[in-house]
Amino acid sequence: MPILTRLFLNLLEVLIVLLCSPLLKGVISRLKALVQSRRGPGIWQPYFDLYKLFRKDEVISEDASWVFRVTPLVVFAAPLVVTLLIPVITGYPLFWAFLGDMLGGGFILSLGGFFAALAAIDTASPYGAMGSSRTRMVAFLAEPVLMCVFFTVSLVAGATIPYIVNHAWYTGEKAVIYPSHLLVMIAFLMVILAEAGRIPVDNPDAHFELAMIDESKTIEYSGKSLALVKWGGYMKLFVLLCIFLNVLVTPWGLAASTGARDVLLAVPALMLKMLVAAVLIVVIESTFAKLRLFRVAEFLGAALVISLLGIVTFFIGI
Amino acid sequence: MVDPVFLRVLGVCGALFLLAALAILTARQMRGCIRLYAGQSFLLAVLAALVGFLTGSAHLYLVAALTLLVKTLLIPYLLGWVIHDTILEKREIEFVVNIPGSLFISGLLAALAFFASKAVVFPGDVLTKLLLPLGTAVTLIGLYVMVSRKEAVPQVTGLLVAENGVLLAAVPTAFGLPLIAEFGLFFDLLVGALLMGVLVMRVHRQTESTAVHELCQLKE
Repeated sequence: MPILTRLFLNLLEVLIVLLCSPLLKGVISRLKALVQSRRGPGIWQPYFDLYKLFRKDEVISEDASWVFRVTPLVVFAAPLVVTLLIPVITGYPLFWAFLGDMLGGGFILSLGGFFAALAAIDTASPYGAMGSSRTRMVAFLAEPVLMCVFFTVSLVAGATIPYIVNHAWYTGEKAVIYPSHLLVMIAFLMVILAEAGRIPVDNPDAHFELAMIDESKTIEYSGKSLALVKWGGYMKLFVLLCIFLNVLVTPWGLAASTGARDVLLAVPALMLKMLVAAVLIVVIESTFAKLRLFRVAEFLGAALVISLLGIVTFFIGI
Repeated sequence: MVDPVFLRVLGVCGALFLLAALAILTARQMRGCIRLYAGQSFLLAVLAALVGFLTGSAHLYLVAALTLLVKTLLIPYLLGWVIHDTILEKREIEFVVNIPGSLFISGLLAALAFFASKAVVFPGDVLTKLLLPLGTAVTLIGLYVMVSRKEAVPQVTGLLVAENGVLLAAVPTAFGLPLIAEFGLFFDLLVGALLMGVLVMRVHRQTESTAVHELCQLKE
């Protein structure tokens, strides 16, 4: 396949992640509002928010160092780099597919989180430091689960490159829906909820400083930087869900060839999958309460045990 | 030869069965515990019916129906009635070991069960290979639930979970027990749950508590 086509498709994927991720956030908030018998903001609200923030002035503390200024860009760029590695709309490897594997993608995403945590401490605001220490706690509990999930998946597929894993599930000669697959799926979903700062680990809609985990990292940002950080957060959820759906749960519906028809069909298929995932998230967020901070360890501990059981069941071969 | 699609459905149900046991282990509310138990029993009924369909042994349907009647309806109702209007309905269950520790131990128990039952299975017997490890794991987790609770009623759920595990292990290995033994087992379980429930209620009325560690001394 010509290099230009692959480059173009890669760019298209990046654009989809860039432009559709606020929509995902908007759909989730709207659906959540509907479930709670509210009208709620429209699904385009995140776009208006971003537009408004991009036009506003920015206030940066005099004591802030370069970390504080660089962080919005890192947080914004990290999910876009990961997009290059994972199947978003195409079922075949694209230009940068072999640049890094799933572990590499995980590292790039956590680089964004690392910078966000540093920047929160940088201005010496007490809430920022509290939030960053909490996000670190959640992150280091989530890390082993993520590793276990990746190991199980790569054991099944024989590789850690997301495209190959997707292909292994898709062609179906490997055991697709077996106990280990299901266990790993559930563990991964729990980690996504923790990583993206959603209920039951964190409440994305709450703005009470003492209870915030993920939001408090952005507390010192304003204007364009805040817009970038927020947009980065939306994209992170979108990318994580892309990995979850396209690599683990529903490897179907991706473009099989470079033909325009295949590619054009793959976009609504992705939207449909995302809608289902949004409904799932809304159901979880509306039925569970936010966990107390120290119960997050129990939640992620459960995820770890489930993923370990996934590995064991794979080795036993049941 | 077993159809791979059926095997996958069995695998999913079996994994959910195991997850339900883990969820019961981590549940802090008695109501949630009972609901999860009902859900697990429902999965057991589905599994028994599926195995009955695959192997053509008709009396597994009866086992499934009995499970559905006794374990998803009667016993949860009974347990709900036992804890009705007691403090157990609202308060959180106390654990001997904290939840992450319990989860870790139960993970080890499950791994132990998997490895142990792997050695027992006849090569080529796919059904047993799939369901026996899960049944054994759930049995061990149920026993652990019994050990790790401080209160009497949650301990009863542990016993019931262990019994579910035993039944799941029995379904593919012996295609269920002989019918008369099956009936006996179910009614034993029902009467047992009822007796334990009534006993716990009496104890609760006498001593204002069902915490086991407080019941080791005689009162005047």
